[in-house]
Amino acid sequence: MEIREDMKILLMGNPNVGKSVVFNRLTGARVVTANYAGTTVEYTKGTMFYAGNHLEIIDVPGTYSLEPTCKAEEVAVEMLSSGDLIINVADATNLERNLHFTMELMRQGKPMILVLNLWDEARHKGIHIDVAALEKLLQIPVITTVAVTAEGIKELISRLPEAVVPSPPNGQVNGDLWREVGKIIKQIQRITHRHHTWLERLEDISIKPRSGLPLAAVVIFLTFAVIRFVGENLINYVFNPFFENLYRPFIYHTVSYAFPSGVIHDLLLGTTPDFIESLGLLTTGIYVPIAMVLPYIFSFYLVLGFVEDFGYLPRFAILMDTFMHKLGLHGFAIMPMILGLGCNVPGAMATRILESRREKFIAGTLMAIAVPCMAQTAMIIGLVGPYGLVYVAMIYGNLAVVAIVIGSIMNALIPGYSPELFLEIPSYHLPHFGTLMKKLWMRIRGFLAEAIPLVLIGVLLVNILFLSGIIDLFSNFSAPVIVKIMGLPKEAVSSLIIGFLRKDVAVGMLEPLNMTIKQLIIACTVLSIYFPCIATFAVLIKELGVKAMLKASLIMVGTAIAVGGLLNLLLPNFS
Amino acid sequence: MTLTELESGKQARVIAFNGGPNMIKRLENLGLLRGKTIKKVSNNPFKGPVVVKIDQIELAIGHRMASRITVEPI
Repeated sequence: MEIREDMKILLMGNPNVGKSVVFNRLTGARVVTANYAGTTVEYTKGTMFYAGNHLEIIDVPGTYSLEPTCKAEEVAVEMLSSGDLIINVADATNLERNLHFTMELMRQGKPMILVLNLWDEARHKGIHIDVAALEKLLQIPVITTVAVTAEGIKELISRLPEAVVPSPPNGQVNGDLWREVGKIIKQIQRITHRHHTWLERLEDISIKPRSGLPLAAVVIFLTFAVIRFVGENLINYVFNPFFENLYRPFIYHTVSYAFPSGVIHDLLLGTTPDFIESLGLLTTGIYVPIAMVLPYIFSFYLVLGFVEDFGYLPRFAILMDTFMHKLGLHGFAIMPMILGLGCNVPGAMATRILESRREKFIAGTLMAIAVPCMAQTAMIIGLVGPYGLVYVAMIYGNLAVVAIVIGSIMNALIPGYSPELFLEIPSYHLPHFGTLMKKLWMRIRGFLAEAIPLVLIGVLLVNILFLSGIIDLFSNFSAPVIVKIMGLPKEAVSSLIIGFLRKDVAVGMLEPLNMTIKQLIIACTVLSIYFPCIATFAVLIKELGVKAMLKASLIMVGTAIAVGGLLNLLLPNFS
Repeated sequence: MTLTELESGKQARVIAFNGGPNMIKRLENLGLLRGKTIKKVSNNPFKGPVVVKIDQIELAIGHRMASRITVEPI
């Protein structure tokens, strides 16, 4: 077919075959990729230049069939009608299942190209595919690629004009299609025996519960140890020295020169020299996101990226399945929680991989309540850590207990049942270094672009609230709950208000209140539970609907008050 | 016997699915078809999921779903 300006090209195929990697190669754009089904839950658009034409490339969420079984798959099927050309990306190591989807696509009457990705992997696994024969049978171009190293991408681009509308395969019902696929596979695929690699042995060890559970404990411990080690050392040896020795003298001189005193001086630098307490735009507003949070964002996504691309997470989800059923979820619902540990926004988006509304509601609510994002975690470690890591652990222990209790209650009270886990377990891959670094950079850039403006707005808002005296009004109004029930100073309400915008700034605002360690633990726990930040809230409204989100919000506020009150009653006065 | 009863490490042929069209659709979409030969990889305790290998892929199947799949050991 002729390649025209503004043509829409859809990348479609089964989950976890590497569509997003191909997308990144074709457009030079960057979308997050990982080694498990359901990384892409929303379509992404990008532009590619071809012989002077702008082509729109659309990375469609993976789907096993054109009859969708979850929201991410619905998105895929809805996209189909708008496409002018389909690049069907298939996993060469699992051709039979992938070809079934190819056959479904061939009924759609759109020009197609078939890409057999993971070609190197297929070779390693002893899978031989006769590409020329497959081209002849399907009558569409078939190209082999290794998208992570860009192998075959040039050929894919140069052969775009060869895309043709295939003649639809025989058979109307599903069973016929599988038989057709079986016939093709017999003609073009040959599998030779070879020895198991150490990665495959590791796959076995991590999936069998007897060895998998101890391994999971080791992985969790190592993950947190590495995150903390990298984060803390970055802060102590890179960010803090920079901020204290270079940044501080620089901004104090510059601002004091331009505004020796007055409102603007105070707004920019605050009224105390402490970077966290001062609440100046250039002090707290820059120090909190860059010097306190960014090092942990970096270390978290460094580790997460590795674990994601390696392919470990689905195996962890399987081991967690029995436990998650107690909360009305299945094992794969651990994915939004893990992503939420970085930032609740992608966590909320990831609830789309879940099948039922009930499950999405429980998962979204639990994540908002009990999963603090890395920005909040970094601040908690920074603020509570100096008193002893045991107190940090206590906050997370509280949240874990809350998750279990609230999850069990929701599971008992909300009608319906938890759907069954059913997923494909990806092979382990050694992560590709360049891909890892690009993904890490993309996530850090995302953090900087979204967090810094909100932090600055938050700091500005605090100043306005204090200067205008509105904060006193709030303090007095909420004193019965905050002081009487939770045992916190009434000024803590300002932190709860700012928590709507940014949880990191909110935790930082607890510092000048001179609270006891007991009060700090209560405040940090409540700050996590009572409400998600505005960005997460917006995504949850979109995913759950206004009515369900209203219910979820009531659960959050109710839980926060109950937990704050209980902790106040039960915790001793550590001294 | 059902897939949950099959011993880990044993091979079997898939005979029948005792479920609605939705369940069958989900199973078939991922390549679990009647007549296929599978190998059971593991069984998680406390009614946890069953892991099976079909051709080149591994699938995890929730316990209740697995208990509705009839297989014949070979």
